[in-house]
Amino acid sequence: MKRRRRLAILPALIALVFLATACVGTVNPEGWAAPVFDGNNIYFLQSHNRLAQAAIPTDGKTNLDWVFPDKNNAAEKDDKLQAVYGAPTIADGVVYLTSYSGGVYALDQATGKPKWHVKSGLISGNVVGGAGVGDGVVAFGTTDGHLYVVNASDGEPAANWQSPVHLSDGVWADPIVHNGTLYVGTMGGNLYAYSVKNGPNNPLWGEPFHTEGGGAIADLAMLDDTHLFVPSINKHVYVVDISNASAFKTQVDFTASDWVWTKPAFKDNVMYFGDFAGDIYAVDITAGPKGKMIWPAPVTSDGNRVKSGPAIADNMLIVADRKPTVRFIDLKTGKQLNAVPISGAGTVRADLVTHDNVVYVVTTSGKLYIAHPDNRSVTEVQVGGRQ
Amino acid sequence: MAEISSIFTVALLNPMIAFLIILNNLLFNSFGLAIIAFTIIIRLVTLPLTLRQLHATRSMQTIQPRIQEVNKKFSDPRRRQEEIMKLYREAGVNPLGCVGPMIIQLPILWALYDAVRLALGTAPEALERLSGHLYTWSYLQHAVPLQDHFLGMDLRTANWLMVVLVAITTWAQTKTSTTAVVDDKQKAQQQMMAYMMPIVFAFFALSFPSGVSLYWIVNSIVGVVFNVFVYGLHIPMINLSIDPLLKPAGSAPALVASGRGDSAAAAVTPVPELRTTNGSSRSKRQNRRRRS
Repeated sequence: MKRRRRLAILPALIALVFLATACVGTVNPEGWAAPVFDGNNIYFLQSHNRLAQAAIPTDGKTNLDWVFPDKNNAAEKDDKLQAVYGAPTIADGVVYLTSYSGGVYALDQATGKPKWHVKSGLISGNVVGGAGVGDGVVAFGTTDGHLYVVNASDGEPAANWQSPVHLSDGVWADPIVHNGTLYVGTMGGNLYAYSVKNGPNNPLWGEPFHTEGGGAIADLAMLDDTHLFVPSINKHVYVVDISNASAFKTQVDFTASDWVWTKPAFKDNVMYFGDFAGDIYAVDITAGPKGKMIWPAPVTSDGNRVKSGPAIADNMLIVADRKPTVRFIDLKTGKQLNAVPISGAGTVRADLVTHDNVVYVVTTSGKLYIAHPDNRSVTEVQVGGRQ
Repeated sequence: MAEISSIFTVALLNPMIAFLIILNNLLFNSFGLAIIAFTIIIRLVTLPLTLRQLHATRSMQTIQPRIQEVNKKFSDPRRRQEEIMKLYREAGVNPLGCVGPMIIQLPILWALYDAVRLALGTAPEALERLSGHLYTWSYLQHAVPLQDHFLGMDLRTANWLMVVLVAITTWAQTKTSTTAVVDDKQKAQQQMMAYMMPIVFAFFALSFPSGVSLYWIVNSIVGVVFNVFVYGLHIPMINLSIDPLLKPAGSAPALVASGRGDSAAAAVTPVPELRTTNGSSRSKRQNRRRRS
């Protein structure tokens, strides 16, 4: 009898362990890919591991055309994205999609079916950034510091990029292909420039651009044709002039209050972005080496982290913080005109995107919202069709 | 509840994360080495508590035969309780002595576990979350994200080798902390613990990042060393015998500092007279009574 009782303790203990494991489990990847527009369609992450194409909403409603991976399609049951952090890139009828642990895909834009797939087994590390697409190649980096450049047509290694380049630190930011040059930022604070055509053996810059103290570059964006936005978790935001392909010039080194891990909005030489202290800035990049705030003071999001990039519509800056609250800020004065909380939809980490003078907001639970600058309201888009 | 959580975060978790990252920077940017150094340092800092706990446990086990005698002798629960408490007093043992230090250590251990888990995020979201726990000192801020590989192993994910090592080291720690008992029921309990604990922690290790398992393995190895210091080590199979190096002041010697094969001898060993620093068979309280 006693032995039986002792044996009964075993499953009870195991159950307790499982419960405890659930309570203290690790953070799972959820992704934060921003929506993308092309033609009459919007592409967004309907859940953390599923990309959807839908018609651009009218009257707050839309229907899904396709989803990838499609759980009803047996051929796609092994496509497990886990999470998507980089916004998909669309070029020549193909949607290029990077996933955290499921590899990199080229999807037919019309059907959502894969044209090619660089499987995760062929990639060292996880992919956090999106794909840099241009000049016939697709570039992506991994968390363990490998940079891959493949043909946009077939996913095979591109000419002069037969083996992945091993950088000293992880690549989390989207690589950028611009005017035949590939720009790659690393979590060790380096920004490299390579000729797409010539491969990695002769970097275009003698020394890479380096952030102060090696602060990680977790995001990267083009401000305009000749300026790169280089934010860092060392609280600095750099604007790097790339008008001369063979040498960079640091045009602005602006200091924020906390980590900056976001893309900016940019208009009339002013870049707008938020930081992890919840401060939102408007910095003129032509006003000296430290930049110049055009507002009297940063707008505060009440201390809530700003991870998502802001967007501009109708002379209004629209920002979402982690709470999440969507704020409407006058572009010129920095005056907050309205703040609309979103409840029951997870948080907002994905960059906001402007289309047709309204701003689209995607939450971590895959819900789609529209921020209207005219009446400073936020409405949810009703998404129908296949789920 | 939120306030307790906030105090825990500000007073324990955030300093521990900072300390881990400082160690990481000092130890060649190896987070694996930082975890090892951190665990050893924390164990050394909490050594006085650990020793008190081990000594209290040993003293409790030493008087078990006499407690058994009392249990047999007195059927009235109240009288039995009084006699047992008297025994505790005579032996200078606080029945909560082995629990108190453990309770004090628990928040420290929990914060340590949380710190390792946060600093070694498995997803980009974890780095974002870590930002809220880092002091604004550039020496710390520039160190993230931390190197997540150690000896070819991804510290962010579970690893079978670590699962096995967790089981082995937990078993070793449990075995070295068990002393001889005469009661069959207690013996059975000890045996069950010796096998259940490794199984339970191996289950934990299956789902936890290897960095946390690494912490647990080092923690257990240090625990084994402490146990050997306090209880000694006797392995008749290989004729190995190490006497306890740390003999507690004011507590009775262990019956036989072994639970490994000579329990029969322990069962027939007469219970030694309890001696304390206060004099033969007398506790502090008894001395005070005598003086008054």
